[in-house]
Amino acid sequence: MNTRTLAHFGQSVVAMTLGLGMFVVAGAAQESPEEVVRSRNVAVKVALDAAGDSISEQVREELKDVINGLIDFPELSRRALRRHWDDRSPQEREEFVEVFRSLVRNSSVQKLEVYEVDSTTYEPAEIDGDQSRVVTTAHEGDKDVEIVYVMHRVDAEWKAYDVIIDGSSTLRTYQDSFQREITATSYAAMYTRLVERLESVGGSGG
Amino acid sequence: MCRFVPGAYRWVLLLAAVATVAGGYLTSKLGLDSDLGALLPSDVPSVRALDEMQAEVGGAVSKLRVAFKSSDFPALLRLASDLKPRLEESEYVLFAQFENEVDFYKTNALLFLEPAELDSLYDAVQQAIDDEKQAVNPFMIDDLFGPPAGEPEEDGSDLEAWEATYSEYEPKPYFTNTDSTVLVMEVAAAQESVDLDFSGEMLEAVREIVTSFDPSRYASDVEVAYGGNIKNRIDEFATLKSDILGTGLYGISGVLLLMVLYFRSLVPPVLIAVSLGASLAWTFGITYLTIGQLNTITGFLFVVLFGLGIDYGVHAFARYRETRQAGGDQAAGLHDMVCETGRALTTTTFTTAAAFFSLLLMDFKGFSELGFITGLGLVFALIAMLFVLPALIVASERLGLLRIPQVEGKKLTFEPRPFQAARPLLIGGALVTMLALAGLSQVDFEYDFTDLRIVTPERQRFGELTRGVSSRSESPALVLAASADEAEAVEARVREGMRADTLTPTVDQVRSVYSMVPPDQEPRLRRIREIRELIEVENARDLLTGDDLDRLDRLEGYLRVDEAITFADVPSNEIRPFLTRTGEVGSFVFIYPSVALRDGRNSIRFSEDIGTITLPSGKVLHAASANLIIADLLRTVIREGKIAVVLSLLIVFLIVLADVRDVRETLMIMSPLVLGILWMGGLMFVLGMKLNLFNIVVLPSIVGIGVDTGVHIRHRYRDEGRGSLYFVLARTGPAVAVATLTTIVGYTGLMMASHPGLESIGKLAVIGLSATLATALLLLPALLEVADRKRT
Repeated sequence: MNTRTLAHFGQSVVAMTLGLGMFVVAGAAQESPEEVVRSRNVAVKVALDAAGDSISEQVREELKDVINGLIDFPELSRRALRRHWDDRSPQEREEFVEVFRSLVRNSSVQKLEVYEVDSTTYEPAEIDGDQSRVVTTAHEGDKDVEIVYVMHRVDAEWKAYDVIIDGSSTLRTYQDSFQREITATSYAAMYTRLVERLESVGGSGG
Repeated sequence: MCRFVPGAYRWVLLLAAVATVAGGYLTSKLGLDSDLGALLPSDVPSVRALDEMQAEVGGAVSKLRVAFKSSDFPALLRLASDLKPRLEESEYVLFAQFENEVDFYKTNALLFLEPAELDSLYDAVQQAIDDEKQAVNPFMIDDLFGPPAGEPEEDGSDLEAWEATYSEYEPKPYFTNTDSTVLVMEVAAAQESVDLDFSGEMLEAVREIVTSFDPSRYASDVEVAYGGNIKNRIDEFATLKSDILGTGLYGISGVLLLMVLYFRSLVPPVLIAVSLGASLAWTFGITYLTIGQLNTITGFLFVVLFGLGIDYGVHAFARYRETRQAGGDQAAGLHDMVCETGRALTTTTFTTAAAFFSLLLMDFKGFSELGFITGLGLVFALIAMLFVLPALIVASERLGLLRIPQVEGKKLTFEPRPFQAARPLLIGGALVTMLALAGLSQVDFEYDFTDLRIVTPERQRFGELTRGVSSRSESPALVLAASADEAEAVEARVREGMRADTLTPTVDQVRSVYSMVPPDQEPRLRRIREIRELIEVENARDLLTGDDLDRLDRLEGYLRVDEAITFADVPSNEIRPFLTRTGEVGSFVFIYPSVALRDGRNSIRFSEDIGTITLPSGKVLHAASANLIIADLLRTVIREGKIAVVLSLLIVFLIVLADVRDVRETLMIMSPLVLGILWMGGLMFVLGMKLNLFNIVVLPSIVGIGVDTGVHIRHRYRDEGRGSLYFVLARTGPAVAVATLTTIVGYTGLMMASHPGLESIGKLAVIGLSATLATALLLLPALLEVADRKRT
C-alpha cells in the first residue's frame, strides 16, 4: 500500500470517527450534561490522534461541527450583546448570530491544545432545572486547567453558552469586547467590523 | 521776552547751569528696572502676587543652572558630587541639586495614582491574565476588534499603557538629557529677594567655585554653561544697559552730524546740543524725583528726546540765521526766533506734550511713564530753546564764536505763484492712501515672544545643551496659600479645571508639597494589596509570557508598597523647593503649563485658567509668574493701545483747534498726520511687520510728533500768505525735514539695539515719521492750495 493510499485511509478513519461522534451526539438527547461534553471532547481527541500532523479541509470542517455543536450560539449571542440584543430586529439578530458563529467556528480549529491534553477528568454535572454546570479539569504534565461549561437545555438537548477557563469567562470576555466596541462606535459599525473580519479570514456568514 | 534775553543772558545762563547740575546729579541716581513687571501698576493682582512670592520664597523660584557637557557621564557625576557640598558652603547658595531621589518614587509611585486609576490597573492586570487563559480557548476569537486599519493599538487598559502611566511618577535619577551627555546642577539662591546685585555676586561666586574645581580634570571634553532665571535677568539687564549706551552714542552722534551738515558749521549744533543737554538733565532729574527709575521702554528716552528736542533748536536757530542772513540784527533775529517761530514752537510743543501727557491715564507704564517723561522733556526742551539757546547765541556772538554774515540775495520776500503740483499730488496721495488702507487692515499683533526676547549667544547655547533635561516646564506659576488646607483646596480647584477643560487645556501638572504625601492612602493601599493577591492567586507569573511577563516583573516592584507614607518619608531634596526663607515648609502650589508660554495667546489662556483661583470658602488667590504678568501686559496694551491713539488724536485736535480757531484749518493741519499713520500701516504690511508689546508705544508717539510738521508749514504759510507755498517749502521745508530727520535718527539708534522689542520700536518710529513727513511736505501744501482756491 503506498503512502497516498495510506493518507486517504487515515482521512477516512477520521471522517468516520467524526461521523460516529456526530451520531453519538445526535443521539445524546437523553445524555447527562457531562456525558455531552465528554463525548464531544473524546470524538475530537480521537479524530486528532488519527489525523496526526496533517488535517485535511474536510476533516477541519467536520471538526468545526463537532466542536461548535456544543455551543448554543443564539443564547451566547443574546447574552454577549445584552441590552443591544433587545434593540435589534429579528433579522439583525439572525445575521449577528450567523457571523458570530462563523467567526467562532473558524477560530475553534486554530486552538486544539485543550483536546490534546494527557487526560481530562469530568465531575458530575450540577443540574438545576434546565441549567447545569460541568466542571472538567484538563491535565497536561503537571499543569491542570479547570474548564467549566455553563449549559442549559435547548429542545431536550444540553448546550453550552459559556466556557470558563481557570476562572476566565468566555461570555464575560465577549460582553466586555462588544460593549467597548459599541460604546466607542455603534452597533452598526461593530457588526460591519465583524463582517470584515470574517471576510478577511475567507469565511462567510453561516 | 524778546527784550529780556539779550540783556539778562548771564543770569539765564547761571540759572540754567545750576538747574542742570542739580538735574544731572539726580539723573545719575536713576535706576533701571528691566523686568517686564515694571511696566504694569504695582496694584495689578499678578504684579502683587509676584512681589509677594519673591519676598516669601525667592529662593524657590530664583535659580542658577549650571550645565556640564561631556561624553564621560560618570565623570560628570563625580564632578557634580564634589561640587555640591562646596557650593552649599557659599553664602549665596541655599542648596545645589543634580539628582532626584528616585527610590522614594520607585517605591511609592502607585500611591500617587487616583483610586480610579488603581481600579483600571487592577482591570489591566486581570485583562492580561484573562487574555492568556483565553488564548487556549477554542471558542474565543483572538483580538476580536483589533485596531482599525492603519491605526496603532491604543488600549488604555493594557499593561503597556499602564506602565507608561505609573512610571510617569518616577523621575529620572539625574538632571540629564536623553543621551546622558549633559548633567545640570540647579543652584538655588540663599536670599529671599533676588535683586540684580545679589544675582551678579552669586553668579560670580558660583563661577569661581566651578572654575576652582577645574572640570577638565574630570574629563578632557567638559563644557560648562550657565543659565536659569538668575542668569537671564543679569544678561537682560546688561544687554539693556549696553543698548542704552550704544544706541545713545549712535543716535546722538547721528543727530549732531546731521545738524553739522545742515548748518554747515559746528557752532550752531553745539549751542543747540548744550541747550538740549540742559533740558534733558532737568527732565530726568524730575523723573528721578517722581518715578525713581526707568523701565525697558523709557530707558531709551534719552536718545529719543535728544532727537525730538533738537527739532526746536533746528527750527529756532534756522529762523535766527535766516533773519541775520537777510540783514537783520541780533535783536531782530532773536525776535523772529522767539516771538514768531517761538509761537509755532509753543503750539507744537504743547500739542505734542499734551498728546504724551494724555498717556498718563493708561495703566501700561510703557505708555504712562513714556508719556510723562516725553511730555516733560519736550516742555523743558522748548524752555531751553526759548531761553537758554538765545542766551548762548548772545554769549557766543559776544565772544566771537558765532558769526552769521549777511547773504546777498537772501530775501525774506518772494513772488506769489500758485502751487501747480496740487492736483497730481492729491490724486497720487489718494491712490497711495487706498492701498495703505488695504495693507493696514492685514497688520496683525505679534503674540509670540520668541522674537521679542533678548537671547544672548550664551543663552542660546545653554538652551541647546539642556534640551530634554526637564520634562516639566521651567516657568511654573506659584500660588501662595496660607495653610495646608488652602493649598489642597487650590490643588483641587486646579485639578477640577483640568478635568473640565478638554478643549483648550493649559495646565500640565499641579503640585504642592502636600502632593508628595497623597491623601487617603488606606483605600489605595487596599487596592494595591488586591492587585498583589490577584497576581498571586491567578499564578500570573506562570501564566504571562514575553513582554507582559517583563511588565509584570516591573509592576511587582511598585506593588511592594504596603505602608502609608508621611512627610518624614519624603526626601529632603524634594521638600527643599517648598521651603520658605525661614526654613519652614511653605503652603504653596506650583502650577505647570502644558502650552508654550512664549506665545502670548497661550499666556493669556493660562492666566484665564489659573490666574485667579476662587476657593470654596470664597477666598480669592492670585497665581504669580512672569508669564502671567506678560498676559496682563498684553491684555492691557491691546485694550489701551486703541484708547491711547484716539485720546492723543483728540488732544492734538483740540489744541490745534484752540490755536487756529477754525475746524477746517485744524482738520487740514491734522490730515498729513492721519494719512501718514495710514501710510505707516500700509508700509508695515509691505515689510511684513507686526505690532507688538513694545512698538505699540510708537502709535501715540507718532500722533504727538507727526503733527509738528503740519503746524509749522501751516503757520509759515499763513504768515507769508497766498501763493507762498513754494517759498514756504523752500524755507520752512528744509527746517521741518531736518527736524523730523533728527527725530528719525534718534529712533534709528534704537534699531541698533540688541533687544528685538526695542529694535521694533525704532523700525516702526522711523517708518511712521517718514510717512508723516512725506504727507506733510507733499499733501498738506496741496490741500492748502486747493482750499484757498475754493475760497476765492
